[in-house]
Amino acid sequence: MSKNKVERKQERKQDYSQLPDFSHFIIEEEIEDYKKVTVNKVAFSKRVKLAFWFLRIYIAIMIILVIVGFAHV
Amino acid sequence: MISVSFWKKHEHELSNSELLKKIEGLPSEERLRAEDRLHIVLHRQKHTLASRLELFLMMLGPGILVMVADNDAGGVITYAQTGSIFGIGFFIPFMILMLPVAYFVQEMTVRLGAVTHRGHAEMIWKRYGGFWGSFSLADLVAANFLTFITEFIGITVGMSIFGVPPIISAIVFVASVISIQLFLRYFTWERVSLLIAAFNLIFIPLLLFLPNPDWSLVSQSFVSWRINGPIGSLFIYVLLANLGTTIAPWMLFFQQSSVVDKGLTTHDIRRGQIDTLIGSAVMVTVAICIIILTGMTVYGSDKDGTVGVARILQIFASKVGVFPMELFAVGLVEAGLIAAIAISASTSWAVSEAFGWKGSINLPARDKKSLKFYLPSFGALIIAAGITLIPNVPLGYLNLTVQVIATIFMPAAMLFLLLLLNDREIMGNHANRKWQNVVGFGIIGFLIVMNALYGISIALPAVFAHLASSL
Repeated sequence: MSKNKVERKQERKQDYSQLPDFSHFIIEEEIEDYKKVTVNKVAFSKRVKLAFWFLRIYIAIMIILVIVGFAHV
Repeated sequence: MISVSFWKKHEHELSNSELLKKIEGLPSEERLRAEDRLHIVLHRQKHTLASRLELFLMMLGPGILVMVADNDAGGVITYAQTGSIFGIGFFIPFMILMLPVAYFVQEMTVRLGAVTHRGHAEMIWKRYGGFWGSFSLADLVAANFLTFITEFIGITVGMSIFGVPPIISAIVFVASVISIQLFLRYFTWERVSLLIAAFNLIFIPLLLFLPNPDWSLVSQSFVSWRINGPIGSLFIYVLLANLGTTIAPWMLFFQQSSVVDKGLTTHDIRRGQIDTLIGSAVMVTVAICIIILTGMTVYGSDKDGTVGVARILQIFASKVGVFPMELFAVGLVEAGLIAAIAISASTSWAVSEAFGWKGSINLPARDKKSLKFYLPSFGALIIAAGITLIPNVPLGYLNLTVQVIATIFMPAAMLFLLLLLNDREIMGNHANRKWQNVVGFGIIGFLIVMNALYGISIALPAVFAHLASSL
């Protein structure tokens, strides 16, 4: 086993209670503050706009077909 | 206040900690999540076998629940119908193929939830605007409502085997789902749900009851992929229904919100993936068992083509015996119950995320916010239960239709998922890789082709018949 591996293993085995008040864990693990990422409305690229138009047409056609399918029952 | 059991368990580690004071100051639903997260973090630091096992069990949840709940009453009925109509053949290897597909799709929600700490509805609404946000929400709520109906079909049919009238079954199960949602905190809710989900495995030992099973048929199916019947509109319909039971829009919303409500972070992605993989394997194994059960007993028994679940159970009992049929019925009831719990949670999470309400399974029942959080799903649940009690509703056909509708809307849900997973501004290093996009768009393409075939079979049956005969 390389020295690095041994050291890392030792570090992992360190007793959690000896760490100073978990402060860095609190931040790193987001225990106290489970922060949501900031999300803003995105500007659509041409490709995405095209995909959304395809989606609209696809959904319209499929809804009509499902209604036709129901009418056949 | 920090709960007594939590304090006792971690008293040593937490003594003199400022963290406790900080956690105590949080609102109740956030405090419970912080406690759950702290449990996980503390267990990560211990390296005994028992601690590792406990950590592994603690991390199980969203992935297994979503997959087992996907084997819902509607799913069980669909698999039973598939075996009854098409026997042992194409659908066995097809379901194996669905394992990586289901895992691939659901794994993306783990990453998205762990990175953003936001639910799926919230992400679509905020990133792509109100139009697509409201479309996704309406699609989800409508599909969930229809799915509730299929759950109650399964529950009432299953309970009728034990002589319980449908109205009693409906009332008892509505009350059970509401109680589980309303009175349990997230962690307990997850454990209770997993316990109920374990009964989904009941279909596996049922194979032992099969009289003279011909296992060579199963092994041959992997070589031949034989379709026992015409490649007509019924085949496409059943294929779509099987796709709809394997990957459905509600699953994306459920698992992502579940990951967030549990408080998972990027540190937990690997364990979340393992949870999803185990869930996928359980789902596919149970599905195949059900197809084998009816494929070896019910298939070919009814000249008119067996579709109704009550008739399927009747034939199953005549071939295998009353006790195995009763176990099958128990599985059907469990499938309906676990799915009703999961779908109810998915509706609550999605509606609250879309409208910016505070929503969490951790909300205490006495909190006014919890009424707002649960009202949409409980309302849908009660109305759906009422509909299944209406006499002469074509329940068997309705069940297949619900699965087909789920498949039709899946490409839209998948597109948003892939767009979000490719959004490097949000996902950073956890964004999709090239091969993941190839697979993802491949699944969308496959779904669209299958839906197009379904469309042709309805709108132009003569053209479809010609196409099918030339295959």
